[in-house]
Amino acid sequence: MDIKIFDHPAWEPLKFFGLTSDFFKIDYQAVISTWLVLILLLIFGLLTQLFYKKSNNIFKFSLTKYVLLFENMVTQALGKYYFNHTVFIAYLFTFLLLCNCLSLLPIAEEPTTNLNTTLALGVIAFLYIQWMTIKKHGLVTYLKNYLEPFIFFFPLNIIGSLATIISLSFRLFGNILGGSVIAGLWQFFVGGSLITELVGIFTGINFLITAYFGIFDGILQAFVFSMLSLTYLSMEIQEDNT
Amino acid sequence: MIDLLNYIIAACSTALPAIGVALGQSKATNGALMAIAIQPSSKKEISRALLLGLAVIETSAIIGLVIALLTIKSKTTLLPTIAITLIAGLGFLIGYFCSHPVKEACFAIARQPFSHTNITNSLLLGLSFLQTPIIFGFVVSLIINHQADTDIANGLRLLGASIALCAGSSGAIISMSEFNAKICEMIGLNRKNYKPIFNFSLVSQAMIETPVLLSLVVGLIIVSMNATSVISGFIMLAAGSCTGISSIAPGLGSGKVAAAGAEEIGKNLELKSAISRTTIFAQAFLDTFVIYGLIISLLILIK
Repeated sequence: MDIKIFDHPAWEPLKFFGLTSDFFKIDYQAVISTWLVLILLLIFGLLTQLFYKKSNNIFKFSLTKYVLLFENMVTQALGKYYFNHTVFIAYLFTFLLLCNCLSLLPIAEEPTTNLNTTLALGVIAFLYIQWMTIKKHGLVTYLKNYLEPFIFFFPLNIIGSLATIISLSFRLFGNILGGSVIAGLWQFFVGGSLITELVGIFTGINFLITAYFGIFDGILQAFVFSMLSLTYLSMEIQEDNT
Repeated sequence: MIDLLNYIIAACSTALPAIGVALGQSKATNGALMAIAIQPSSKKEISRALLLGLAVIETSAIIGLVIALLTIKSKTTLLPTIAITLIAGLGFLIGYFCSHPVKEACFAIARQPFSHTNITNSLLLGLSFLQTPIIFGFVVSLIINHQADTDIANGLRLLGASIALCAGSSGAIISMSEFNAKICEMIGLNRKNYKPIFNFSLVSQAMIETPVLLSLVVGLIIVSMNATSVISGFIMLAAGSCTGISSIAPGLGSGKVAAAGAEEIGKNLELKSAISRTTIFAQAFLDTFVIYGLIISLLILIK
């Protein structure tokens, strides 16, 4: 049993030119599984178009419900309906949901067990929130906010706003990694002999581990990530007169 | 002399859970008897909930017994024995604190005899969430027992793994029992609370479990490594203690926040979405401190 956290097999495309720094390495497992998720999203989108042209059916109904869920979420959090925030939150949730549940496919591994993916998502959410704050209040008020309550708090405010990246990304990473480590450990226990594998199937523990760590925890962490991004956003851009 | 000490410590690993379980079962039975005195006509439902609760509380004592048997039969040195006993000591906490939800569930059934199935269901869900640390601990102690015949360096490493798991779970156990007791109490006050509080509790329980899960990950990583010298053993002990100790207070606080949220939802059903959003947000802030501890532990371990 060995548990790898940070060292994944890497591909060096520019090794021929002598560029072998860590910056030029490509972690191909994460790239392949992320592209798999993107292909799934594309198929999902095409199916949506197909079903929306037809008359009413159950697929159309459930999709409308799915979108309305995010509309309600954004309306409750921000006090008013915003189209672009709804799209952002719905995209984050759908992408993360597919990422976290990807291990249900037997060939794939979740891209969110890789720290690079979650850090990138955290940075995206952080930059989106900062950009929306600047757009809402203007650059001068935004910079002035870092000097509140007086000037010596500048480094503390910088650390406080950068902590959102770490808090968002490491929560997702730790939870999904924990699930995959526990599933791997169970596999290590039961694998190898026919009797223990049959015990694993017929007592239902295999199913239980997949259902909890694969589906439930995946949905929950996707929800928490998008919800927290929305709440950070609402803290920054909320109206004063609500 | 060392052998004698070894056996005494191994005996503690069945004695500690037994004390906790006995205290907890007496407390739960006390509550059930008082509930029957309040509502004698529903004594059948109350005793059914009590028996289910007692059976679940018993689990940690049985696991403690199995751990002690394994420790006595296999050849172990002193430090791994201490590590295994610490994990079995979780049974004390779990056995004692499982009694609060059972007690409150009995009172709730006395108040709302017709929704006894709902109350029993939520009690069982809460108790199964409460039992997860000892099951994780059982798995880790099996691994420790498998590699227990080692030198001091690896003994320190195994001690670090067990401290990560024990300290990391203790806060979450205490506060989760408070949260589940509050859920049962709120369903007892108003049976329409069942569905909203049930949905809320699923998310909140998983958020409270986060420290347990993260400290389990650190413990498993430490167990799967190998210490070459006493210094590296101490380093791994430090890494385990870092996540473990930093998980105590967030675990405690997260459950307290969730209990307050459940109480407010029970009182104001129409504010459900706002309250649950605020509660999850506060829990996420509390979990951040566990994540800081996890980062430092991982940085120590990959060095």
